[in-house]
Amino acid sequence: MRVRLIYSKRNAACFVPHIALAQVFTRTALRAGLKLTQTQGYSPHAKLSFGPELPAGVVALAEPVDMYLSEVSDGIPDVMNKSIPEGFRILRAYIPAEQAPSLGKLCTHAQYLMRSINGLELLQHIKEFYSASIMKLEDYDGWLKFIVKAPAQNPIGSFVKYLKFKELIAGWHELNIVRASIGYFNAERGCIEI
Amino acid sequence: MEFEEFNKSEWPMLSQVSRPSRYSGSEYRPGESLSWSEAKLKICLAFPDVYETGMSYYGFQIMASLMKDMKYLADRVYCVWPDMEALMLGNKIPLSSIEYKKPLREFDVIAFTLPHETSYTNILTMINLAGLPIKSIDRARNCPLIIAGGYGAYNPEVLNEFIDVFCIGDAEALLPEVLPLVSGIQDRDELLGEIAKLPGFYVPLYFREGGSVERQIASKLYTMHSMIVPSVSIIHDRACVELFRGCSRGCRFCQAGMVNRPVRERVVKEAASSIQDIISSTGWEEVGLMSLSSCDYSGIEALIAELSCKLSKDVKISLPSLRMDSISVSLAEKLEVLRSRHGGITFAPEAGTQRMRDVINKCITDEMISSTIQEIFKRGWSRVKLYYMMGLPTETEEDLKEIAKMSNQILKLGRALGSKRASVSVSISGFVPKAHTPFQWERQNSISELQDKGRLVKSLIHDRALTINYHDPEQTYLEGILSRGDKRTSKVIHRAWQTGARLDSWTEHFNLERWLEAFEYYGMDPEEFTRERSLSEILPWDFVKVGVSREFLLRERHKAYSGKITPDCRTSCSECGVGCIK
Repeated sequence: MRVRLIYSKRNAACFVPHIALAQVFTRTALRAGLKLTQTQGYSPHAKLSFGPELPAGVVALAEPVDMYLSEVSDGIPDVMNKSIPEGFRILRAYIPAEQAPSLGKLCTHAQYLMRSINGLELLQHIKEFYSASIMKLEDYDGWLKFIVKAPAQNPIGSFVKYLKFKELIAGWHELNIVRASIGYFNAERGCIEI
Repeated sequence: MEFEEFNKSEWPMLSQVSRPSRYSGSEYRPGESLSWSEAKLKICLAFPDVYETGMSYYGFQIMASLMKDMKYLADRVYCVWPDMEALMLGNKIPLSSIEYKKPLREFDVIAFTLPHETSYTNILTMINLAGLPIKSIDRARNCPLIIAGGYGAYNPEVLNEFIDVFCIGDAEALLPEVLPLVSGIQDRDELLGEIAKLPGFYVPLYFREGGSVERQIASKLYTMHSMIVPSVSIIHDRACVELFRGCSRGCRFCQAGMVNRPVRERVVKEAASSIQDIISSTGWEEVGLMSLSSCDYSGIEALIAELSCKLSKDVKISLPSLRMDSISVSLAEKLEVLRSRHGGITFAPEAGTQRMRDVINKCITDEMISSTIQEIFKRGWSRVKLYYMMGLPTETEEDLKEIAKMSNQILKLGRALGSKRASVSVSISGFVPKAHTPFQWERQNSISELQDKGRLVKSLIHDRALTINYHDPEQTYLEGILSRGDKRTSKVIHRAWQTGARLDSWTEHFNLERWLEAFEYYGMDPEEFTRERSLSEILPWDFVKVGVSREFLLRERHKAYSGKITPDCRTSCSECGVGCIK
C-alpha cells in the first residue's frame, strides 16, 4: 500500500544529498518496525519514490515521499520521528487515492523563498531567468516568495548557476533558499497542495 | 521570517565546500544523548581521515558505545578536506565535533585513533584547527588531554611530540582505567604524572629512560547492541560485529596478527544476538562478520545457520575476505544465496610461489589455490580479485613472474570452466616491514625497486580481462619511513605538515617532495628508516611490550629465511610469549 509522507529537511539534513534519501527513509522505516515492500529484480530494495530533486544546501519545509508498505498502521510520523536522523522530521502521513499520479507527475509547482546576503537585488533576475515559468512573485517579510512551474525541468540550482555565471554572486553561500512547498497548484485556493 | 540554520557560522562554509554532508552530521544515534552541561566527562573521539573513512571504522563505534555505558559524553570528529580547512582558518572558526557541534577545546579529552601511518599529518591539521598547540609540551593547563591509541601507538615515538598520552592495547582494557583519573584530577601535570604510573600508558613527558610499557589485553570483547548510522553512504556502509580479536595464523609480515594476540572469540549466541539487535535498531541491510580471518571463527557455521533463520532474508551477510579452501567457498556460497553470482570474490594469496608463501608463513599451497579457484568458477562466480605483495624478504624475479603466471592461469581456468566473462583483477602492494613483526629488521625496497617490480609484473599481462594495479611506491615509501621512525620523525612530520603535507593517503594530495624536503631541512636521510636494522641495535619501539617475545620474532625470522612454516596456533602452540587466555 502506498503511503505518502510529508517531511521537513532542516539544519544538518539540508546537506544530505538527494541520492542518499532513499537509504535514509528505508533505514528509518526499518528501525521503526514498518514493513516495506521490496522491489523485484536484479537487486531488490525497498520501494520508495520521491518528488523533484532538492539540491543540497536548501532548507525544505514540506517535501513528499511515497513509501510502499505491506501493512499500514496509525501513527507512522510519530514512530518514524523517534528514530529519524538529525534534521529530518516527518510532518504527516496519509494514503493517497489509488489512481493518484506518481509524485514525479504530481509535482508541477514548487514554492521558494529566497534572499541574497550580498545585497544583490534578486527580483529582476528571477523574472528574467524564469520568465513564463514563474507565478506569484512577491516580497515576503524580507524574502522573495515565488512559485516555479515544472520544478523538475526548472531546478533552482540552474538559477544559482546563472547568477554565478553572470558574476552576481560567488556561489551558493551568498543566497538563502527555502523550498516552502511542492505539489500541484490549486487555482481556487491559490496555493500549492499535495 | 527567520530560519535558524542560515544564522549559524558553519552554514556559509558548508554551502561552499565539497561534500558538506561530511561535516553537517546528520546521523541516527541510538539511545539518549547525555546533556552537554550535565556530563561529568566529555570525550571527543578523533579520526585522522575524512568522515566516510572514519565512520566505517568499527573501533569508534565500540568506543562511543563503551563510553556511553560508562556515563561519559562521547562525541566524534573527523579530518576536514583542504577546502574546508582553508575556510575555517580564514573565518577563524575552530574545529567542532559532529554531534554536539562543540569546539574541540571544550572537551576534556581528545582521543585519536591511529589507523595507518599516512594519516599522521591529519592529526596536526586537526589539533591546529582546534586552536591547540601542536606540541604536547606547549599545551597549557586548561587544554584538553590529547590521547591516542590503535596500530600507530605500537611505535609511539614517531608522534611523541604531539600526543600527551599513548594507550597501548585494547580500548576495553585501557579506557576504564584512564578516564576516571581524568575526571578526578584537575591539574594537567599531576594528571599526566598519575597516568604515567598506570600499566599500558606511555606519557612521553613523564617517561623514565629505560622503562617499558606493557600492552593491556581485554579478556572479554565489548558487545554492541546498536550503532550510529550515517545519512550519507560511507566506505563500508553496513552493520558489523567482531567475531574474534587476534589471529592464529601467524603471517610473518602482519602486524595486526602479532599485536592482537591471543585469539579471543565471542560465543556464537552472543554474536548472533548482537547482530540481531544491531540490525533491528539500525535498519542496515547488510552485516559484516569482521575479524582478521573471519573464516577461522570456530562457530562460523553455527552462526550463519542461526542468522539465516533469525534475520530477515533481505539482510545480507558478508565476510571481508575468504580463505583459500573449500570450506570457505561453501561458506561464501551460503552467504551469496540472495545475491547474484556476478559479484566478485576476493582472495589474498599474497605471493606467487610456494617458496615465497612459506617465507611469509601464508600457509596455503598451490593445490589449495587451484582447487579453490576451480570451485568458485564451477559454482558460477566469474570475477576474482587477488591481493599480492611485492618487495618481500628473499624475493626473486621468479616470485614476481609467478604472480603474473598464476593470474593468467586463473583466468584461463575460468574460461575453460565455461565462464566466458571470467575476469581477474590483481592488486599488488609494496611490502612495508612493521614494528613487532618477525620482519621488523628487514630492509624495505626503494621506490625504484618497487616501480621496476610493479612494471615487470604488469609487462607479463596481456589480457584485457586481467587488470593489474600496484600501490604507488612513493606512498609505500612514506608509509615505511613513518612505520619504523623514531623521535626525530616527529620533527619531520611537523615540518612536512607546515610546508603543506595533507591527507597523504589520498593520491590527489600526496606529494613526496614535501617529505624529502622536510628530511633535508633536518639534515636527515629518509633511507635511515627503511634500511635493514642490525640485531644488536635498540629499536625505537622496543620499550613497547606487545606480548610476543623477541626470541619468538627471531625464531620466526630464522624460519622465514629457511622457508619453514609455523603451524596455526590452533594446531600447535608456537610459544610466542603472549600466553593464551584459558
